[in-house]
Amino acid sequence: MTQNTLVEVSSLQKSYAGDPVVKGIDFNIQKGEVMGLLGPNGAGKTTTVLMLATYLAPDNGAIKIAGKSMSEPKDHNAIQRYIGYVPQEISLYGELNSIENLAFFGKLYGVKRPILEEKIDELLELVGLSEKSKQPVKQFSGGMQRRLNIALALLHNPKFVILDEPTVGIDPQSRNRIFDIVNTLRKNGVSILYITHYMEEAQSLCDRVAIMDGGKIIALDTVDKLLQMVEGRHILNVEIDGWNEAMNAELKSKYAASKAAYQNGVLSIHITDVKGVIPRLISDLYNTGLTIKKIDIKEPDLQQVFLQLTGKDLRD
Amino acid sequence: MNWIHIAVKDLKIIMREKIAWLTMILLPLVVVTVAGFALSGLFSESVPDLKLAYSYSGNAENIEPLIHGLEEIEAIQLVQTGSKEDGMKLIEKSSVTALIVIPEDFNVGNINSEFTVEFYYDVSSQSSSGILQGMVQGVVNSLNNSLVTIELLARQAEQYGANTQELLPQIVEKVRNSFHTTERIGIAVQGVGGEESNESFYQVIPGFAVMFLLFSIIGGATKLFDERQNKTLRRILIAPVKKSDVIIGKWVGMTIEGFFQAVILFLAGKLIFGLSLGDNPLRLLCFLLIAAGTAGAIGVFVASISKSLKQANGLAMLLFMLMSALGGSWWPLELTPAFMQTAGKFTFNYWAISGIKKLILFNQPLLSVGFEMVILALVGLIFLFLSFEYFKFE
Repeated sequence: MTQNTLVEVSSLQKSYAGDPVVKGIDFNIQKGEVMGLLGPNGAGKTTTVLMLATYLAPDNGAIKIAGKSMSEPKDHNAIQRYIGYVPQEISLYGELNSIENLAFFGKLYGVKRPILEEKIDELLELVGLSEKSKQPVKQFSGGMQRRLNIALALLHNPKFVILDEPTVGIDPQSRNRIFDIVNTLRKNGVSILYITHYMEEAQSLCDRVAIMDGGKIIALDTVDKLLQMVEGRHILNVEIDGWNEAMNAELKSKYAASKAAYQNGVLSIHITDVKGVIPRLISDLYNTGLTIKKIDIKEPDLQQVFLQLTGKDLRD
Repeated sequence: MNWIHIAVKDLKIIMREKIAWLTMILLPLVVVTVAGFALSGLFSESVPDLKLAYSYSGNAENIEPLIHGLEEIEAIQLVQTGSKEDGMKLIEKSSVTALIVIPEDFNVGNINSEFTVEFYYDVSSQSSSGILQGMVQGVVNSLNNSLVTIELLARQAEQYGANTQELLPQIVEKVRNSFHTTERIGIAVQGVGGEESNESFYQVIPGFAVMFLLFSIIGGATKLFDERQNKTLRRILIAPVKKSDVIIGKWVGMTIEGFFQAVILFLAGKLIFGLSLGDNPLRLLCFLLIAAGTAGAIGVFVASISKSLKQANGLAMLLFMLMSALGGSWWPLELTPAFMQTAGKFTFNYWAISGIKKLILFNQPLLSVGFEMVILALVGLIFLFLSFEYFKFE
């Protein structure tokens, strides 16, 4: 823990009807840091998020935000004002327009006029909805609603924003806009917990990623370091004719491959040093008289990290 | 004071929903208009006559007093039929409401005989038939009285040695004439309690108004479940908002909605059908606000204890129907058995209707409905307290 730490979570536990859902997790989030939280359904992500958002009380453990403890009743209100929560569901009032939705939640957080009006204008600009501000929200596209869903959490200038699956089911344009919002918040020193199913989002947006499974954090590090955990990080797919299965074992030892297999005309080799291997492999295959039709290099991803750590697919 | 923001937001949403407008304004308007046309008496001149058929095959002169007595009643339209069978066919075709079959030997002058007039009626219109039966009975009673008078006079004449056989036709004639013309004892009718009114309309309007207040139970429960479902309620609770603010905000929203509906209903009654709102309509508004508050509290309670929208709707509908039926919204409680009248006192409708009637029918001061207001306020507070205890936020 450093002076720069904004969120401190230690030994956090939660059970439902005696069934443990979150089993003692610890992590910190630094000021201005974007931390990803990955995990399959039922991993305990939502329960963790709801505890962080003050909605659920933990059974055990502690949560501190900006030095204030959530278990202290006197600090509860202050902590709620530090947090901006963007739920996975589009939680808006469809009959009201953007301004009315924003004004309502702004008032609940005690934001007074004229600051509230300025903030509403600023946020509508940020999420690209200024021109549609007087249109009932139920007439918005899914992407526009998602953007407003985010804006609602930013009215009171939170120090810590929780984004729970903010890009589910939206168009690429809205997704890019949301990425821009996340980057703007980061630049402004806001800490973000970003929950997502999309590995590429976690890889491109997050400074660090926590992987949850079975109520525990099974890995937490920077994306690069997590990717380094994968044995045979790159997958080299070579489309060839006339492969002999007996050559698999030779291939594994010759190129220090963690795995080699031939299926449907494609030879897949899992290797770490892709740059050193490719010229040699092409030369060797050429010398054995085989015809190379296509070579494809697949970069390692968090999916593989999860697979390696748990033996199951992240989307299971 | 976040409850104010929550209540204002709820009211804004209601104002934006077309269906909400429909139930809030159009429905009470339609109900009051239909009830007004049906019961206010505004178009009483066009009320159709009650059609009474009669069959008699004897000398027309013998039944003349009876027929004349019936003809004098304006509401009755007499239809003569050839036979009893023809009259029965008219009832079956709903051309007449009832039929009287007068025996062939019927004669008012024959004081030593007994006659039975048969009365047949349409079972599908028992109320009209009942009224007709009462009218026929009234005329027959008058004739019976006349016959008794004739008999007494004849006996008196005999005692003084008069020849009864000679005198009887003259006595009969005298009595027959007096039967047509004399009205020695009359009844002066005077209403008590405010303006002259039509009882049915004044019974129905408070009952309907209270029923509309109870509508807020169903609407309120539905809205709360919408908020649970789209997680806006969760979002509100993650903000620095007390749970009590959420409950009070919802209650205030429902109360204002119900109050507005009831006001529209009374206003329409006043403007279209001249319904009296008492000398000071502010008294009625004040009472309606308290009644709306109680209905709102019941609504929040229903939403609080229900686990699903289906359950909330079912429970709200059950309460709505039960309280409306027992409490006097659908029919005057005076018509129901004693045990039902007692049960009615345990309903919201009973106390609300009782207060409204006192204010608009008897034009009484607000203090006279103090007991009703205290009962309603207490019931409202109890339900609000229970809502705080049992409110399910998820």
